[in-house]
Amino acid sequence: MRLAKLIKFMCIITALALIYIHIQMQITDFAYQGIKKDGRIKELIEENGNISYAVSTLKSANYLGLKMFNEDSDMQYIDQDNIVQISTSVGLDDAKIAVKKAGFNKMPNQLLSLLSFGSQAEAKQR
Amino acid sequence: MQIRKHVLRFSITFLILIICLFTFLIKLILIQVFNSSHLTGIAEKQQKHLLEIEAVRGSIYDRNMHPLAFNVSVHSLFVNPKAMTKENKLRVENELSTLLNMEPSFIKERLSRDKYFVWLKRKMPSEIVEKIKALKINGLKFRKESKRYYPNGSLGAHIIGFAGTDNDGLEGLELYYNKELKGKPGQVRILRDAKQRELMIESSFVPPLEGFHLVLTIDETIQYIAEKALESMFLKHKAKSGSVIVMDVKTGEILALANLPTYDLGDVEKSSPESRTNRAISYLYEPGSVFKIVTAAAALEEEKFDEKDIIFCENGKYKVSRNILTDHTPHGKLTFSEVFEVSSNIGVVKIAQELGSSIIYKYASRFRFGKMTGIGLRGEVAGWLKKPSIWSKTTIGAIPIGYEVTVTPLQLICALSSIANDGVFMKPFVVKYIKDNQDQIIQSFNPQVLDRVISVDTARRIKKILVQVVEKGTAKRAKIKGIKVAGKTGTARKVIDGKYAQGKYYATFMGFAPADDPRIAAIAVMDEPHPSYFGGTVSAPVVKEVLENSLKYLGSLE
Repeated sequence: MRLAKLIKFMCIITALALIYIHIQMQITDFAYQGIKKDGRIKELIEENGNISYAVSTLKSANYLGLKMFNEDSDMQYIDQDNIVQISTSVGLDDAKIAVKKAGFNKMPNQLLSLLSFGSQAEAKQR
Repeated sequence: MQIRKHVLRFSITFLILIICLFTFLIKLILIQVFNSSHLTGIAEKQQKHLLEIEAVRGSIYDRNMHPLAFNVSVHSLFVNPKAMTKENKLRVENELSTLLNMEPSFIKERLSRDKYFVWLKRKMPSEIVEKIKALKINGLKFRKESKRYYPNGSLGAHIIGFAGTDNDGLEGLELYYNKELKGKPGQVRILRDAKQRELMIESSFVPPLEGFHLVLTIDETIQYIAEKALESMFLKHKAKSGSVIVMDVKTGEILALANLPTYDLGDVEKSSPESRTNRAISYLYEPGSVFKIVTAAAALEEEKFDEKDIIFCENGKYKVSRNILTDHTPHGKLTFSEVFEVSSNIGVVKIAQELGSSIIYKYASRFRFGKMTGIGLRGEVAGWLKKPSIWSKTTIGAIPIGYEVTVTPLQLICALSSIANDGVFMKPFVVKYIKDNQDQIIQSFNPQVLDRVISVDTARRIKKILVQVVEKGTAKRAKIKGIKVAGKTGTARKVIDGKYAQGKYYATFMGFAPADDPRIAAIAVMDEPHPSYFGGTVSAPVVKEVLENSLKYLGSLE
């Protein structure tokens, strides 16, 4: 009986030890996989940094100024004198009234909209 | 007999096995128990490695969050000379010298070192890295580091400064706020396998504390406007150096600060100490007539004079103790306002004589001449303002017109801004706030009132006089169509080796706009412009361009 118990105990210990070793090897295996992924992430971070730098340089005041305000350019800073206000012939409220009269605010007839060949937006407004 | 022989053999064999087992057991005990710590130490030394994780240096932004400085990950090249073969070393010498832009002898010296780790070139552009990798030379290894990049080149160079190879700030705000920007490196204990590959099985991990970010008061666009305006006049008048500062009069925020000569932040190795000097805050000079605003302020605040008071300007010559004071253009009788409009030295000195040395000194001190502004940049100097107790008999004829006193351009623009701000002196500053990666504000810098220098009424009266300086006086070239500009010119002789040099001047103009509701103030100082050297001719157009374009730009933001 004692021998049987001992053998049973040793088997359990051996099994646990094997599981532990297996887990450790898995961890090491993941660590090796991690090297590749870590490398890829670092490449992407570096690429992101280089692109950010390129974009920032292109957007920078120095670069834009060089391109836009060189001696040959007619461009200049905007001035209130350069802004022209245009007034429309129909006021906004009048426009709203006109839309209402045309009936565009009515609920669309679902059956009619199915039979319509118009675009979806047009069908909804009929 | 036979059985005994068998038993004997069996016993001897068994005994040998037991002795072997016993030997192994003793060896095991020796290794596992007595030599355990020593052997574990050797294994740990071989396998475990403490890796420092570099903290990413914080970025610097302008007030609109446009990046002015940030870090990018780059490759650095290193070798293990002890492990490299002679053939590979020769290949490196011959093939890499052109790519790395190094002398072959320099590379040879590096490869001959008796070390396991030697840098060949740090922080290289990715194109060079790819070319080196394509050569497939054994023994060359790369390590990732971060490099500081400045997308605007030389824009704002004197404010931003630069960081060195080890990401430590060496000039400007990079130096001043190095502790906040640098962060703290982290640490991780990793395993190395037999091929020295690093396995991230962390037994201990201390994350890095990433650097904080600076958000400046500088506006990238206004900075560009200022630098272009300065450069244009600097080249036109062949000046030796120049400075421009643009300031928000109500808050004290510095919107732009430019100096010439300047340098490219991305190519600092080619710069000279002269080009790196921030003249706007660390260069002292006798300002000349721009200093007359002190006398004007003192006279009106002390109610000793009125704008319509008549002052006789001696037709251009006036004796002060043993010196003869002259005006550029002789004048007879002028009103108090006209004295400043035409910048009569004699008129101002007579007003100053009436006020007395202690009052002139009192107001010059109130305008914080002779004191540092505390802008938050390294290298600022206080200048020199003599106390009345050590004034000579001629000093009353010098200080009121901007001689025998030394100032920085920053002090002048702050003084003018206080007049524009209805007599309230605001502390100038260049950093708005410091934040972390999660946009949490770590430290905020708010507008700070340093003093009420003069009353609101006095300030407004001086503003009117300064408007006339531009409308009718010496600064007509600062006029902007549709906007009232107020300002003061200054043309001061330059001292070289203790004497006033012939034909060498400082040309200054400082102004603010719109005069009715001042928003921004600007100053331009040119050192040794020629052939023209008057402040109204050389520097006023710079300030005009800066104010005009800046107001258009700011107007377009609203």
